[in-house]
Amino acid sequence: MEALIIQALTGLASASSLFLVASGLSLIFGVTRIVNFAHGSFYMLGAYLAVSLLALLPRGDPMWWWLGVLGAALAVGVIGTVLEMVLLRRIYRAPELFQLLATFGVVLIVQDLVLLIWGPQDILGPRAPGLRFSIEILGQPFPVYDLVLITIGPVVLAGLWALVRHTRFGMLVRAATHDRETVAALGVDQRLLFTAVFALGSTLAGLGGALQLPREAVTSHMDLAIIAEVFVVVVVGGLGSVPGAYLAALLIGQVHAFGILVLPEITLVLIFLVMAAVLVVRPHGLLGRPLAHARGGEAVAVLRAAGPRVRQIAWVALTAAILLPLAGSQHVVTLATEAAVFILFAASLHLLLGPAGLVSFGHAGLFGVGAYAVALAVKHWAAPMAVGLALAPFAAGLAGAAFGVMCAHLSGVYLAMLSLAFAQILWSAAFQWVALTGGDNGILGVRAAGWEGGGLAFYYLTLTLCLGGMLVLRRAILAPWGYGLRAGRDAPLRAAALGIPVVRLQWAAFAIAGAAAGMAGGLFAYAKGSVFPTYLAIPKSVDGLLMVLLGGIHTLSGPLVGALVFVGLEDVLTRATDLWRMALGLIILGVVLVFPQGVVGAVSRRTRDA
Amino acid sequence: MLEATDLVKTFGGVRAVDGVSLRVMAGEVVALIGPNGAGKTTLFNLLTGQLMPDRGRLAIAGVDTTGWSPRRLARHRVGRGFQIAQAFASMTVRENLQTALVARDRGLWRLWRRLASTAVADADSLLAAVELADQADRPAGDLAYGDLKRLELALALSNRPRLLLLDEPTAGTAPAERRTLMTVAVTLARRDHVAVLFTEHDMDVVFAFADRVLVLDAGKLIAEGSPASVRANPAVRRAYLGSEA
Ligand SMILES: Nc1ncnc2c1ncn2[C@@H]1O[C@H](COP(=O)(O)OP(=O)(O)OP(=O)(O)O)[C@@H](O)[C@H]1O
Ligand SMILES: [Mg+2]
Repeated sequence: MEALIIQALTGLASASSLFLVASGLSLIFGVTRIVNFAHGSFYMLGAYLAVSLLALLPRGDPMWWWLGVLGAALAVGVIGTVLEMVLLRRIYRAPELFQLLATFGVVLIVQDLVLLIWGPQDILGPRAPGLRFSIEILGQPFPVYDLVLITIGPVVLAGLWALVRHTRFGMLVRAATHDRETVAALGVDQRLLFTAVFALGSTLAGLGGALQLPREAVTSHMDLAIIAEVFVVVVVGGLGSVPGAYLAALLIGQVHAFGILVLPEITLVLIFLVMAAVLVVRPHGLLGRPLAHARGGEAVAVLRAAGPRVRQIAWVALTAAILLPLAGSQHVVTLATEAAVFILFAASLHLLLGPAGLVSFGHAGLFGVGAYAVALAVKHWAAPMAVGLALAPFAAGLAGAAFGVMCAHLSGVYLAMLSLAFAQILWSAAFQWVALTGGDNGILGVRAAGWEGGGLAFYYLTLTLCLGGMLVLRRAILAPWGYGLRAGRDAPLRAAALGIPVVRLQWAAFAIAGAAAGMAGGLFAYAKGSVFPTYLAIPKSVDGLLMVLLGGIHTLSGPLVGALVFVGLEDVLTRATDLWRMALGLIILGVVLVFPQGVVGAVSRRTRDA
Repeated sequence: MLEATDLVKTFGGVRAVDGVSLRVMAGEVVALIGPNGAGKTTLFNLLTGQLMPDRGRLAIAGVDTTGWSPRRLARHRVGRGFQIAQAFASMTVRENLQTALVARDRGLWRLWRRLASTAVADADSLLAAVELADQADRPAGDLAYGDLKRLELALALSNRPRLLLLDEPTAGTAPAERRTLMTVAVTLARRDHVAVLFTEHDMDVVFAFADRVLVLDAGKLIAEGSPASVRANPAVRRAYLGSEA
């Protein structure tokens, strides 16, 4: 009993930290309608900056410690403000996917900056002077600092409440969140409002990070770890609702605390299930309201089957791919194998992003399921390749279907956030469930005799399966099913009035895209001879998004071109610089700002104009 | 064909539809008129399953359809035109109709056969009926608004409706075009003995095409009858005073 109460208190302390970060994200989303992936980076920067700042300040004095923490939070606020003015302002009107991707570009850049400035090792920050001891609660020791944290949550909640309810600024925030036309009519300087909210939100995230110093080591993984949990909190609480964020933080904090007690491996799965349950009952979260979408319809190009010129180019490219091994370079064959895998991966993601209009930020989760299915089958049953390659799409197709059942009916940003959380959970399963997956060390020896990765036979097998898979997807997009999907994306009300079962078609899209991604993942496992948790990690999902965007969402050949460009680019970048994440981040920002239509989109537009 | 009984829908405190009962017979063309904000679109949304009524019942073709989803009603052969035309912008005009026709025939679960070769003849004959054949290969997203309204009508007709619900089928089009559009709709409807309920702000159109007129004001039906009797009704004149000629 005592242990349970202590655990509940620990849950409350975590809830406070979660709330600080989540409330900022929710405020920012409410006003700007941008889901800011970089919010986790603000949290991480808060922690790192606090470490550096506290190193400069006098030690041992509680006042200086708290000032240092506040200073770090304010510094993050300044960084957030600058980011808003330099980047986000330019993309408020861009399609959702581009906004998400742009903020993810920032995540990548910050990661490399952090490594550059603070180095890769974990850092233990100074703990709060005067609060380093534990007190006895029901005969159990409990850190006093956690008690302080428990009170900080409600205090911040009350502060935000007062701010939102009783100030002019708060009135504008509420108006922008719930009734966007009014704000425009009020003639307020919206830019100022947006910047101010961003400053406030990022300060809160920074504060959340800085306050973690006494509780855990500061690492360069903090950003993605927190953002997945914060997404869950914000979605469960209701996007745009600060009290909702607090309630959800309490809930998730408790699930976390008790999940660890019962079975640590499934804590994250438990959280996901709680979230799914909440969303079934309340699709807009505990205290959320349906948000009017204030975004104009995007101009969408008509999809067409390939014309004669594109066919010619395709034949030439295919011939080149077949003759490629004649070049005699092992590196080229390896690279081409990888490229083929990523073409299928990108094509499967494109099915969701393009025709289905489903923004998935967790596609690598399905890729990884395929890879792990193969690896486990080889390790435990010494399965032959045919079995492995049948199992991979099957397992990932099932995972995609399961995810689709839970999430296909959700709209844009909700889906993006949940798919990210879903992939993050699969990642932590692969990472934590060491007995099954080998954890960080992965599973080695994923081989089939005669079909070694890097060999010719395997190259041709991969080429056949991946290009074949891509063509099947393409065919389905041009079949009635694909048109039904697009109908649901273009005009959902019209589609329903015609009797089109939009949600079921989308659900099938998840299953099919999952199977294709799983096939890609399975082949990738054989190609590398091993699998690691990074296969399902968020950066891999973003790689996929980048491929699709590079190629252009509204073209059928886009994913192919995008995957080739990406693989080439990555090869060059990783060899040229250690800061490839930063380079990738900058490229993302460049693509989003310069080529909002993707490369193929831009080229075909130019040729059409000409 | 359509029988609605005591439909009620409130938004917050506003009773947008307040106890409406109405009937439309097969082969009958009925106009629903009323000032802006009278609740016409809300009533249509109740009839098409897009909104759930707080109270009331709905029967179509002798089947109790209360609480049915738009999709189920579409399968029950209810055709619907939206006040703001809704077409599939990323498809050509013909593809819009092909998709609609394939959906009607439950052929959407085909993953291999190309849509391009499916239901072409039917699509083209619908396009000819709404006089849109010359635009068949244009992207729907590029159409002029009048043409979009024609496409909207063709889509509403695509499931061979026995009940056709058109919310302002001519809104936003030029006066000359309104008559052609309504002529097309009404001719087809009379030929196939379809029950038609439409809303319209242009009184000339209403009086030219409707067999019967229903007047909605502040969510309530305030008058009903032949076009001539409704025109003469003082309550109708009062409701319209200042808002309509
Ligand atoms: N989703 C909604 N939420 C809240 N109020 C609504 C909603 N839809 C309609 N209303 C309100 O219900 C009333 C009826 O609106 P409705 O659109 O049905 O009128 P209408 O007769 O179609 O008007 P118009 O001639 O302008 O098309 C209006 O007061 C409107 O503001
Ligand atoms: Mg209306």
